[in-house]
Amino acid sequence: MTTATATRPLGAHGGEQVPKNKKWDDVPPRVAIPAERAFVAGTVFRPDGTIAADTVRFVDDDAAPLLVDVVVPLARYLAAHAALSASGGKVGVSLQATDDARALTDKLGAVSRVVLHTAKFRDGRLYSQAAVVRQIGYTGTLRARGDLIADQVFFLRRIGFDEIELRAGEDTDVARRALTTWTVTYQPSSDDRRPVGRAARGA
Amino acid sequence: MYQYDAVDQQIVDERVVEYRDQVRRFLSGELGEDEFRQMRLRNGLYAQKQAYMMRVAIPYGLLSTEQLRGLAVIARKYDKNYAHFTTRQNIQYNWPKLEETPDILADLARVQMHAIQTSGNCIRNITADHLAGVSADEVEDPRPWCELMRQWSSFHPEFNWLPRKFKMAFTGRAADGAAIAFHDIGYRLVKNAAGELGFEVHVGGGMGRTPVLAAVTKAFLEPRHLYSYTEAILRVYNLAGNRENIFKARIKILLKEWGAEKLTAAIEEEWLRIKDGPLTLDAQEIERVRSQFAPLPYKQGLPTGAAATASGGEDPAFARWLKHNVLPHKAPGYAVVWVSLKQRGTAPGDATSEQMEGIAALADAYSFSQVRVAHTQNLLLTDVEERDLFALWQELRKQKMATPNIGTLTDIICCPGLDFCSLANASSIPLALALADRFEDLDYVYDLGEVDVKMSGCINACGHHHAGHIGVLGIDKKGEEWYQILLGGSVDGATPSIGKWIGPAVQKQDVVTVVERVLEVFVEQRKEEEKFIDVVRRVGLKPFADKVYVGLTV
Repeated sequence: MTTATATRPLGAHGGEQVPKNKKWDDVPPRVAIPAERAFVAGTVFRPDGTIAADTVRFVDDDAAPLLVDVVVPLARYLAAHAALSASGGKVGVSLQATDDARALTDKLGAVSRVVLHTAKFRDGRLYSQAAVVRQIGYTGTLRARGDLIADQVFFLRRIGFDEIELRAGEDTDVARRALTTWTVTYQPSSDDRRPVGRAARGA
Repeated sequence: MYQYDAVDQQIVDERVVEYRDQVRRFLSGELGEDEFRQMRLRNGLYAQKQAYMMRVAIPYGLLSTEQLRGLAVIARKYDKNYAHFTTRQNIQYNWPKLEETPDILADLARVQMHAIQTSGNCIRNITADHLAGVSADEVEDPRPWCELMRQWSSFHPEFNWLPRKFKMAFTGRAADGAAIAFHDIGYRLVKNAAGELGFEVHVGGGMGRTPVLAAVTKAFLEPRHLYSYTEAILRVYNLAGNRENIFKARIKILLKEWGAEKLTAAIEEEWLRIKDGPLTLDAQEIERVRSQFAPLPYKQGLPTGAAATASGGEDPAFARWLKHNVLPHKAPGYAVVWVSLKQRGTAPGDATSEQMEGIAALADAYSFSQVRVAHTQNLLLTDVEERDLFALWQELRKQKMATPNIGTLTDIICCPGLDFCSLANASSIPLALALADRFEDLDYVYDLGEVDVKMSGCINACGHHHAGHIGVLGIDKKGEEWYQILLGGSVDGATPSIGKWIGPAVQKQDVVTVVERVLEVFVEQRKEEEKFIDVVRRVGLKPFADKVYVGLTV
């Protein structure tokens, strides 16, 4: 499986095409987020607002050893899981947006970590993949990886991600603030299985 | 009507805080253009041709007079003293300043309103039959279910980044005033053989460049499963919908490519996995919302019919208005009144702040302080005592909102077009005005009967041209405005249909002529009082195509 490559920006418009020569609204010049706040590669953002060093290694090489802190593509995991399970070994598995998360059904025994990858922050497949992964009974560490922005962490946390690799340079202060955007929610999700309805979810 | 509780209020208030900070970060350069675009779209803010446009949600088209006054004040305070009611029962402001948009949202929150998810690739505002709760042929009022769906779909963590926008509509009757067959999901309240209430679920309808009629994926869904079944549909779509090509990304394309059987099976399979889980609606929650849509306290023993409207005397203008702009009500002695936003010389659906306040005052005086927005870009006062109709008509006439043209040729549905919209190829508003001018002879218009004209300035079909008895679509041909003419579309509940091209596009100056000739053919072919749509269905397009193009440049 490969990542889908778009022929045009994915969902760039959301129904809107900004005029090519839009003159009425100048886009303010970008400023860099100060280094002490900027997210850096090699770390992960956690739903409790902390940032941890990333010890995980993503491995494409078919010969590399399968270890707890190694993450391999879905196909390799599926090929190896039976033998790994038998020996009590564990390894991380990484899914692209086009992968079927349900392929892991009944094959979660050797999973140390599930990593869901998105190529564009506007591509929301990983949210449903995460719901599927939880639905098939996976309770371990779930990571979101790829092009993710600080404004998205509230929903990412709600959907059940324990580790978020933000886009490098994202503002971690904003991400921390975003965790508490809403103090009440309408729907059950992985973070909160209380049923729908005010009686169960009311303030 | 539904009143926010502390939870609802907190959710919209917290949204304002989030958005205010996003605007600040964009203006200071901390948040990039593309990232901010996605955030502002989900708060209803579009970049248009000459300015931003802000689209505010009017859930299921229902407004209290306090809310309508709030909208009027926003138009005056932040915009050019007018706003535009849309085909999706929303309202749009055409000239807001970016810096002031957080304040607009804060003002909206004060009257229990918002612009949440009115744009962007997410679940949009929920629309409803404009006669919900007042029509005698209704199984049940769909609005409690719309409100339940509004809550469930607001900030749903899984469905904020769909392949494309997603629209849902509800109706409570077979006649269907909500055009459910043209929505991503349409729900019709029905009763089964045992007399129990449920939903008939229609999935995969839409307009745009590929018009598709929805397929029924569930003939009877028990109400308590409304959320779980909807979540199953959305999950199937979010995972399988096309993300390569924006023009192939709606759920209707899945319906086309998979077929109804496969799509139905995929939804069913997912639904059975989550059915009876935490998404199950319990009776207490249904009752909590339903009780807020309890029937209004209608008076008993009111005069009806001619006895109630006798004060109008023989005034033919009043009689015309009664005939065309007033509908029967389920409660004896009451009537449903159309407030026309199609007066000659103004853009269809536009209203000034003064008009909004005027309507609010009339609703306070005559209609339980509530106002409805219809997808035909008109408003309604739904609960007027028949004996008040003459007084109400006089007031409406003073405010130029009594044009007696509802359902006729000049009750044109029209998108904002080239004058505002950056997508448009064509000036739909001036054309709608030209058509209205040409057909100002009311007797001729009345003789034609029900003719539904819908105009879109581009293929995105905000003017619903595929669903018009006569559809007009603006296209760009080598930098010039040309127009395609379609015939035979309908949103009728029993027999919805998609209009078909009659032939090549015509130039702007010929559109009115083409419509005139279409009507001439209709009059020639018509048998007695036959309706326009029935004639098109009976004789087909050929008699029209043979005549309309004679002598025109195509």
